[in-house]
Amino acid sequence: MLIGPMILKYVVDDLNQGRDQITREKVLLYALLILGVALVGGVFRFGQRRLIGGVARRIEYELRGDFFKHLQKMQKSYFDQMDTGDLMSRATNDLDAVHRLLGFAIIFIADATVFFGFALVIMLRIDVTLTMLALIPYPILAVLVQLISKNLHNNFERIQEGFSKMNTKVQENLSGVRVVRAYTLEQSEIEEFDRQNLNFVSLNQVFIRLEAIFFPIFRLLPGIGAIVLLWLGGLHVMQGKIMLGDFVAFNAYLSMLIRPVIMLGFIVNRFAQGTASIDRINLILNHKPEICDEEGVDEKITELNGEIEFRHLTFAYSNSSPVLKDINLKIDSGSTVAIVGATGAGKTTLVDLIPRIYQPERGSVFIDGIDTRNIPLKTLRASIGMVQQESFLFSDLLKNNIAYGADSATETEIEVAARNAGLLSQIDEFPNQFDTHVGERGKTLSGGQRQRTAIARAIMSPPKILILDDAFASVDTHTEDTILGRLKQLGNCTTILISHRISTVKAADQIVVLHDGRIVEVGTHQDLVSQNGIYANIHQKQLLKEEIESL
Amino acid sequence: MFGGSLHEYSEEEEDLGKIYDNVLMRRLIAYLRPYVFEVTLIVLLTLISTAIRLVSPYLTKIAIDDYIVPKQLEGFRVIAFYLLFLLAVEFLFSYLETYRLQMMGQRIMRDFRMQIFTHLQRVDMNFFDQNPVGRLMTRVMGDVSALNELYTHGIITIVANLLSIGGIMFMMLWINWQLALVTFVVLPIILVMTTVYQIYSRRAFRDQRKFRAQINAFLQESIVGMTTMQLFTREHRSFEKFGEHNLKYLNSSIRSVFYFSVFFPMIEITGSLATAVIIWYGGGQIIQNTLSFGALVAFLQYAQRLFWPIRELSEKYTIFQRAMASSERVFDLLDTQPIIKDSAYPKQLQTVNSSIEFQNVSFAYREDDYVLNDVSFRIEPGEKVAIVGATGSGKTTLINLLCRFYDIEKGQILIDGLDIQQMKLDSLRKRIGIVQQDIFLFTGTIESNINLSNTSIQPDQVVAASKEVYLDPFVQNMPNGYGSEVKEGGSGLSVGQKQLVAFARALAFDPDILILDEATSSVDTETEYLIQDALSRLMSNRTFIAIAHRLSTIQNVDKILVMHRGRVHEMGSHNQLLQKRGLYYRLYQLQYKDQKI
Ligand SMILES: Nc1ncnc2c1ncn2[C@@H]1O[C@H](COP(=O)(O)OP(=O)(O)OP(=O)(O)O)[C@@H](O)[C@H]1O
Ligand SMILES: Nc1ncnc2c1ncn2[C@@H]1O[C@H](COP(=O)(O)OP(=O)(O)OP(=O)(O)O)[C@@H](O)[C@H]1O
Ligand SMILES: [Mg+2]
Ligand SMILES: [Mg+2]
Repeated sequence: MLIGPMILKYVVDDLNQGRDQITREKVLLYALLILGVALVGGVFRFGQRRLIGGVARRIEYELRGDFFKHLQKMQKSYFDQMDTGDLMSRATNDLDAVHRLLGFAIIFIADATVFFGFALVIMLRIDVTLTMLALIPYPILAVLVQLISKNLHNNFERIQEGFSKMNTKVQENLSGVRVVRAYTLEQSEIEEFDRQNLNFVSLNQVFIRLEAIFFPIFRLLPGIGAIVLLWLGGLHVMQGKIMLGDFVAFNAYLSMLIRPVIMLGFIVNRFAQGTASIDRINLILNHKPEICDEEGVDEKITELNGEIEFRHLTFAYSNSSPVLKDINLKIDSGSTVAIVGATGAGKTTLVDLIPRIYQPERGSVFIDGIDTRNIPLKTLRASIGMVQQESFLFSDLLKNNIAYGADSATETEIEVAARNAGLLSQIDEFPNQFDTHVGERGKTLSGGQRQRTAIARAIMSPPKILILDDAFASVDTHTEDTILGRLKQLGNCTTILISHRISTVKAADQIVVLHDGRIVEVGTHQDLVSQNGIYANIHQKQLLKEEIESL
Repeated sequence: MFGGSLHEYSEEEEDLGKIYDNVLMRRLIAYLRPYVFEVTLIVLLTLISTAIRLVSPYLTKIAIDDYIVPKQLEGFRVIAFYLLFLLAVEFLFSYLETYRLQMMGQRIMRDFRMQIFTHLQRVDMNFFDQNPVGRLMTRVMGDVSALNELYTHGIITIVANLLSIGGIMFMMLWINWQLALVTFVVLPIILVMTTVYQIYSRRAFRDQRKFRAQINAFLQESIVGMTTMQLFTREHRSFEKFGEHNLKYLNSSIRSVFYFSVFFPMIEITGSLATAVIIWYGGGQIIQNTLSFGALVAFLQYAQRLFWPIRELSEKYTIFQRAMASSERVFDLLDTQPIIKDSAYPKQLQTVNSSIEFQNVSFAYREDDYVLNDVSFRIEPGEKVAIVGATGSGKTTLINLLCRFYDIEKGQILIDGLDIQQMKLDSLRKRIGIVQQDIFLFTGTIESNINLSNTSIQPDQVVAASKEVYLDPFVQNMPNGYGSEVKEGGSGLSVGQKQLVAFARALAFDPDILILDEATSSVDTETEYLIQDALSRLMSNRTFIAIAHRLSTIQNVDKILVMHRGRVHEMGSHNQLLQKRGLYYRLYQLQYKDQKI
């Protein structure tokens, strides 16, 4: 490509020097030379594009993988703060900007510098002053680029933020569609979305204005250079200072510079966008996961027995007052403990600390006498079967949801788990049985079916510790009774039950009453009833109620 | 594409997208209608700047032929000034053009997004059962961006490109038609190359889009279900799965990179071919004195400029194809008409008694899989009714039907004797306050979650409602009270507290009919009793329906409806049902057996 204008110079010089200097053969030779050079360049370019384009894609692939892997390590408290829509838009929209930067920009940067460098050298050899004059606009360009690209960068960041916001809005509106409809919020949602839309348009307006100035500048300034050249170069030719061929070649070089310069405009823009997006992605990646295997973890622990102990456990969610205060409790391996207490007393918080969904202080939660923070996370969690208060099902077949935690599960195993969770009778009524698709978050199941699927999932491979956090809230008492009976037969597993129903907790070996983050009563049903405390009060109330009713 | 069996959930079937479809195109063009002025202006600006770009090489030719070669200084300056002037005009115009065009694109995107979003507020509920949120978000956000390209880099740019090509060809023919014709020989080559490229890249491109949609859906679900995944130590497995999607996407991208790397150098080589041809043939012409130097230089410049629009045009292929695919999906969505909508002649309810009657209602979510069978019952105005029954017996479904989230085909549901299908949807729903089984809180504050940003609900009403459900003490304990932040999905609150928020919300809206679907299932007994006392006062003149598994919570009601396998099995007061010794009696016994000491 670069040699092209050189050849052109010879052509023009030859042509100019006189009709006798040039023959058709010579012209043909020049033409073939141009073509040949282009061919070689083309092959080269193919290799380059393929290489860089491929590398860019691979980096994008790695980055996406890293992003996912990173999120996998992040603790719940992190997701409590982040919006899904926002995370998604970083993983998609921003990653795109990065990939565009890597792919095109690198190719063009390589192209542009090579082009620019060579063309410059050759131009300098033809005529130094002309070159200098033709290049006058370029430093101006550089300064302008600096100025504008910083603005572009900042603006783009704002745009991406605006996009994230819209994304989050849509996501929330669609997820909460039942509430939106039930409260006829459609109109106000539409208005709110339009406000964000308008805001997004105006964010873009600033950016577009910059962009609209930016690109033409990249044509304007080199164009001025070309005119300066035509003018001064033309004068030089007239004065016989340079040959017409040099002039033409010079012109050709300069016009070849224009394209890389325009490209440079693209690059700068992409760069501004790409780096803004990288910043946004890095913001996520640079957040260190808090809950992971730390120093002091004993890798040798691969199995747990299931004896749980809390020692002076105090816990607070980030920057708020403690939710749990000085909890001391020992749960024997294989025993059943029930936790009761008012809404917001801290029951869920307490059990969430066992599998380290949230991070307990060192030296406060022990299993088999070992600080849970010294137990490998994988061992810890693999030993625990947990049904969270709000269980999450994946949009997959019912059987895959039940077998979610098991590496390989036979049909019979799945069926057994379903039976033990009291789900089998329901499944029998589904036309597709275990192959029923449960819909996103399990929304095509009834509330109780969802909870029981979660129970089946937790007991699929019998855990050492089973935690049922209000797992029967949407299950009728009859079914609950049956399930609890079956769970007892599961074998030697430590069970922690949270419930508001006395009938559920009565039979536990130990009942713990939480009040305002403290354990206020511990004992068996009989103990507590005779203690005349909170538990006895609840029990009394239920009895009283029941007596009135049976009159 | 929408609808269809649930099994195709995450599979987004896509065939090779069309590049051009008349019907779609006509609909797409219709979106330009509000911008006729803009479009005209932009086209004008484009015309002018295209013309300018055509003129400058010609001026260069004149400068060389008429001034530099004959060493003619006079008038040379004028030419240079012309060139400078044209350059400035072009700068101004292309600024205006880009700005106007991009802004128009943004506005059209807003139109699209609003239209889709608005439409999604109307579509039937079972549409959401079948379409995951991730996919719908792709419609509102992703597909719309693809359409943007069509408007900003598609339709109008194509016009501009074609104009440029035509103009340049004309100029070349005008300067020297023989040389021009010889140069045009390369055009068919480009045409063939472009077509071949399109055939290959289209396929790679379609794959790319498909895999990408899969990645996004997977990612979205993983983020929402991250804790579950961690609890089951599935990190490795799900990373592998993600990696599979990711790898598929990578491979298809690499394929398109390959085509791209072959195609563009080839276009450039063809460009050089044109240069070579010009030098070979033009050189010959110069020897024969039928061509001037200036013309040769101008020709070379024109040839360069000819290739840009052609190259760009070939990129338009991709843009068009993407836009066609996206618009097809978007229009598909916009064309799904809701079945549930206001009847053509909505009737206004005169009374506000709120009696509710189900008459022989049968209902299936999915074809022929009946969840409710021939359900009939009547609730008198002001009556308090409880619905009990085993899991999956259809309790929530009854409520869904009453709110007209789904329409029934068999039977009728009447409020005060008027079929709900004949009522206006929002007047129906405004009368009903409902606390749903699945609690949903919005990002915002406690207050905005109770009044749902409805300004007609005063702050003291919010507080009053919270006090009735005993939410107030919790809120008072929070650092910012009712202004405390609520994060996505209500994280930061205990489940019981979330239920109380939803409960307060229902009360704050002061409905004629209050429905509680397991509204206090995660609330402690103490609070529950207190709430019940409050309710019996609040609901004295209103119709009230409660669904509950804890029988203790429903004993104050006038009537109990026992559901069993989609049928009303028993109905009557607590005492009647106990005497009947049927299903209710058995449920009741089970729950209280231990307490009868
Ligand atoms: N959106 C849906 N699409 C398809 N099937 C559904 C849908 N919602 C519920 N079902 C099915 O309809 C049946 C009745 O569900 P429903 O939610 O009415 O039960 P329920 O009585 O409220 O139970 P629960 O006490 O568990 O809440 C169940 O078998 C359930 O799987
Ligand atoms: N992620 C969180 N961040 C900050 N505060 C939280 C978070 N989760 C819960 N809380 C607060 O901690 C307290 C204890 O909550 P927890 O969920 O443990 O209650 P609970 O006893 O399980 O209640 P419920 O019976 O309603 O489920 C509550 O006041 C709640 O508002
Ligand atoms: Mg809880
Ligand atoms: Mg239900």
